[in-house]
Amino acid sequence: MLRKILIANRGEIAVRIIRACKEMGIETVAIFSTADHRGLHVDLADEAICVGSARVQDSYLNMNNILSAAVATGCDAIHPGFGFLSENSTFAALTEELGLKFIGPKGTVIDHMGNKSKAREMMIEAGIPVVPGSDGLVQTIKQGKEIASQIGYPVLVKASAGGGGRGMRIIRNEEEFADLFQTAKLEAKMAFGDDSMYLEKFIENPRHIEFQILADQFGNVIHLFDRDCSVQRRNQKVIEEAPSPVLDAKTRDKMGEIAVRAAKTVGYENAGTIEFLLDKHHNFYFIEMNTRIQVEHPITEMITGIDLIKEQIKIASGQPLAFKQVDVKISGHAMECRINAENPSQNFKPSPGQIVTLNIPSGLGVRVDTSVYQGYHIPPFYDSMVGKLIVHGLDRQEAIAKMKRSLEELVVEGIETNIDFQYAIMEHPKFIENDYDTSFIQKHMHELEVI
Amino acid sequence: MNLADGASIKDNKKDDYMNQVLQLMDRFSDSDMTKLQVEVEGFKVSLQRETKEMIEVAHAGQLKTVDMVPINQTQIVSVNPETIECTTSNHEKQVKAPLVGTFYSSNEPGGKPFVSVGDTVKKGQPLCIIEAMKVMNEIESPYEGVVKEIKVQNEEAVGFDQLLMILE
Repeated sequence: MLRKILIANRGEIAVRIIRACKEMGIETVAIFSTADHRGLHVDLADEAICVGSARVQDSYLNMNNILSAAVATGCDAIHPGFGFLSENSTFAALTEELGLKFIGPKGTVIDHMGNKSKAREMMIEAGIPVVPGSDGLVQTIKQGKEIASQIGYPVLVKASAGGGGRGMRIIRNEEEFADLFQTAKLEAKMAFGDDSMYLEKFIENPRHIEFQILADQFGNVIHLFDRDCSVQRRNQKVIEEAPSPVLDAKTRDKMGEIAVRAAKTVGYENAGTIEFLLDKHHNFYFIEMNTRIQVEHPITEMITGIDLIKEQIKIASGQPLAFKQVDVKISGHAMECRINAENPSQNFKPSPGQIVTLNIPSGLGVRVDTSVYQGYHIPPFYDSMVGKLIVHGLDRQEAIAKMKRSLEELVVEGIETNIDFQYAIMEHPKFIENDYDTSFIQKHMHELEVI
Repeated sequence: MNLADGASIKDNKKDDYMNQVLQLMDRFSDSDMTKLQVEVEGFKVSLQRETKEMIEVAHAGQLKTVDMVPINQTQIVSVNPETIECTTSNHEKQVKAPLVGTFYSSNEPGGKPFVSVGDTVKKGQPLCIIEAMKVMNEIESPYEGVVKEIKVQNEEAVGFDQLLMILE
């Protein structure tokens, strides 16, 4: 079993990982920037080491400093969390080169899957359905227009090195192709340092359904069912639920089997997620694979009873999976609301500042993953997440009731948050009736507006 | 020195207090304190240095100075009933780690350390080594001064900006 882990992250995921380590008797080392010395993860870890100043490039993306910290503190592994360096193949490779275990897949696998265009190719070869699109990268606008005509508008131009909804534009006709293609390219260059683009047919109003997989070092791969992440705003997830309320058992099994096949095809190790789009006719298409633990992993934990972070650590320690596919069952229904420090009435402008009053809800099936505390100053340098409110009920109806009750109890004063916005979604008839897709927030923005 | 209004002190005690206050003043002068207030049976003394915060912070040779002010003036201010207060001054020269790694006090295991407390060091003189990824980085003194305190131990892991030594 791994002995001492450096958590190369911050905020609630760092707290999450530290908690799992503590329960397993594993020593923990936290890293922090000079702006984060009051972070909860710093207090909870056995040791903490400052790795640079506030800007992420100087600290949380500073590979040299983070690796030095891991070596200097005598760690035998690094958990990268999500975001930051978690899908940086160079970092994964360097970690291994220094004789430390990177808790995740190999650098080469991260590379293959991180290159969205290449990942598409690999899936096509494995007979896995993908969204109709370009055969590889689109080099010129002329070429792009030709392919778009073949596929049929509307199309989506996407950054091959992308993620998190950036470097992506919907193009509805040939007239707007050149401009939007260029804009997306520029955004990709800025965000990922790589402006390689590819095209996909734009599936109108799909549901975004992803499958959690776990793969050990011995070739065993299982899935832990699905998550429906269709409630999104500008390609950022707002609410997630598990299992997806629109999948019937047969489709679920099929998609699960394909998710496992996709992971095996690329020689995956550790936790990962296969993302699909489900169109109106219930056809599903692979869009990408996320080679890290995800923000919304708790809802899978609630319905399966499996601690995903602990499983990550066990896999990285060289243990085979302790259960088979048949052992994993769905129990009840779980939902997660992302609570962000943002002002919905001002176009979701980030709202850093001090949390003057904090009240965290509780009760059966109510879980809050957060790193904030009363008096905490949310720094302006990082993402705006305050915490994740997760509920688990016997069925979807009970989950919604618990979420509403918990949102009512949740008090975060001193900063603006999206709590009321989340509550409005919980009360919206389309959401309650399960009649929604990725266009939900955009379509119903006016009804969700809170004063 | 002003006595508090309305205070009356018997002559035979007055000498005692005067001596004590003179001693206090001496000790205060020699110390790092910037402010000292004492109340003894209605006899109150407040001593304060006029000084701005002065911290010299260095990252391996890059000197950044914030408000340097000579601190030789002692000024005896008013007399007020206060409990004893003491603050340390900030006119120290701090040497902070410019990178993350392992601190070594000498360049060979078990060898003589680069510096010890009480040593006088020149600007540019190596104070210690921080090893990062097998590279030994000599940390040079950004100032001239005397080593007052070494805050870390040999082979300790140090982080960015961590206080390594204080010179004066």
